[in-house]
Amino acid sequence: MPDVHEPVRPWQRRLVTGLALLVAIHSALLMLWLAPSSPIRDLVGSRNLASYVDPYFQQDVDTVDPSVQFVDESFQVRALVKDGTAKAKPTKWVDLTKEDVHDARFNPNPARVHLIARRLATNLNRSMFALEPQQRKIVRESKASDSTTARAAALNEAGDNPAVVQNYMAYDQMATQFASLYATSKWEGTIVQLQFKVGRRSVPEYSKRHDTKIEDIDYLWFSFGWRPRFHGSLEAQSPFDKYVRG
Amino acid sequence: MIGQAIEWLTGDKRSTYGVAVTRMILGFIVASQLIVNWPDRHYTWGDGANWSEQVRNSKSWPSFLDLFKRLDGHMFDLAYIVTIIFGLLLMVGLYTRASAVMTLFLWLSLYVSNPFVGSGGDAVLRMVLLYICFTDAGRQWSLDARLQARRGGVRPLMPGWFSATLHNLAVILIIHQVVMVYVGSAFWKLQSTVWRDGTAVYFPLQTDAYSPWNDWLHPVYAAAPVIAGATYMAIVVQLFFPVLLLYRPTRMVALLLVTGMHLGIGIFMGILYFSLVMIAVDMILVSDRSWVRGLEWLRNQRNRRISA
Repeated sequence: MPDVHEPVRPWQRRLVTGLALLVAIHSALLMLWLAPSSPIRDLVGSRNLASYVDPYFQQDVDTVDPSVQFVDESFQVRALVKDGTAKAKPTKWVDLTKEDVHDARFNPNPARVHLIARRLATNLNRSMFALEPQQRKIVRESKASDSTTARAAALNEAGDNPAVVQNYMAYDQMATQFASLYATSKWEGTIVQLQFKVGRRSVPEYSKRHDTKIEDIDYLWFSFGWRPRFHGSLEAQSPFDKYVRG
Repeated sequence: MIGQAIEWLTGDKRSTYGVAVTRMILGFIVASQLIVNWPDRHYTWGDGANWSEQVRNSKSWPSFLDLFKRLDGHMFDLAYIVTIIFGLLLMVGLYTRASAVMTLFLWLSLYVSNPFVGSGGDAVLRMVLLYICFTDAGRQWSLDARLQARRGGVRPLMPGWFSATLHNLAVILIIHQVVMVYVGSAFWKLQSTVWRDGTAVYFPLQTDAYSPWNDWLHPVYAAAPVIAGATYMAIVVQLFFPVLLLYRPTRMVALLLVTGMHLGIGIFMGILYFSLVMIAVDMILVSDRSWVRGLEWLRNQRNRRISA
């Protein structure tokens, strides 16, 4: 039996019309937000659109923009470990991305933890590509004794891109914290310092698909200097212990 | 014309079966995702994720979504379990509207606690969950409907015309969302050389991130007809999706193609979750009449088999 619920009073009809109008405006704004650049989108302005979409809806252009994944990325960690009274020694590099990929292999619904190393690699790679060659050199040669403020100042002095430096510093800090917590769970002894590096390699051209696989391509590495260990709280460390030690 | 539109909005509730299927799949996704991630919940979203604070704070979500950020230990686990329960309640359609609202709130709060592990389907899921809150999603295939049938009619909280308006407008928004994703995506694709030359699908399938079966399927991934077919099919189906929806037979073809495409993406590229979200939303595009006809056909087939 179909429902028949005709609004009979004028205010009811006005309310329905008003709601429909709101829906139309909301739809138009979301559509413009996700659309490629166009005169209408430019007329409304990205900032105006963001002020509506961002607080509650936060639809990213990534939802519709099919940026093709051309690359494999790698995030690796090692630590300077002091065991007993012996002199601190560096561990071997551990490829966290490879571990995640291995664990997610043949699994169409992998756990979200396996995204972490890859996301770190992507963001660090992006921020490094955005830096000037001279700034990358500063990053590569930075030491555990350098303060983050000093590093940021040196980077800003070597280039004219404060937003890029700020972005790099944020991911450097995140990677340092993540790598510290990971290293503390992974290696026995006292973690004195730690280091990470990120790599990127591109899928060979389509025309070479029968002769070359991505495994034949070398990674382009970005190295980072040693960092002092970040001391996480017990609550923060404990999930890493459970995950890393199994 | 305005009169007809008002009549359409306030009359029958549209796509009630489709909304029910969407509701069930979304509830399943929320519950199953959290169950799959249970062993690593503290590492992924809890105290173990505090290192990602810089990214977390870069987006300005409203402060009432801070629930999971503020909880730890057993309280975190409790909130996590409650989210699973509401996901299941949404799936089976018990206290459907309240379950939809609570699932949206809890799921969003969890997402906000570490957006770094967010996946491609999250944005669509949260938008559709938001719209589902305004629909009568428990009207079909739900425990609410069963209970109501057993107990008899209950006096509705809202006048029928208003409830129907909210439901139908929410259905329009969900359909708009899915059409926007497809057409927007097709427009972006048309601006890219690798999509235009028919090779785009090849590249991600060679990477570790999107090829969980690469060792087995590499010869297939390297075959030009497979790659070109998949690339062009994706553009054509997405670009003409709204046009194909206008006529019932082409709508069915579009839905079959797009569902097939999502199953392919989900299984072969290891992003089943995103694919399931899109399949769930596509189900709203199947009209009530088609669902009823399909169910009748199934019933007849079963009866014929029993009587044979």
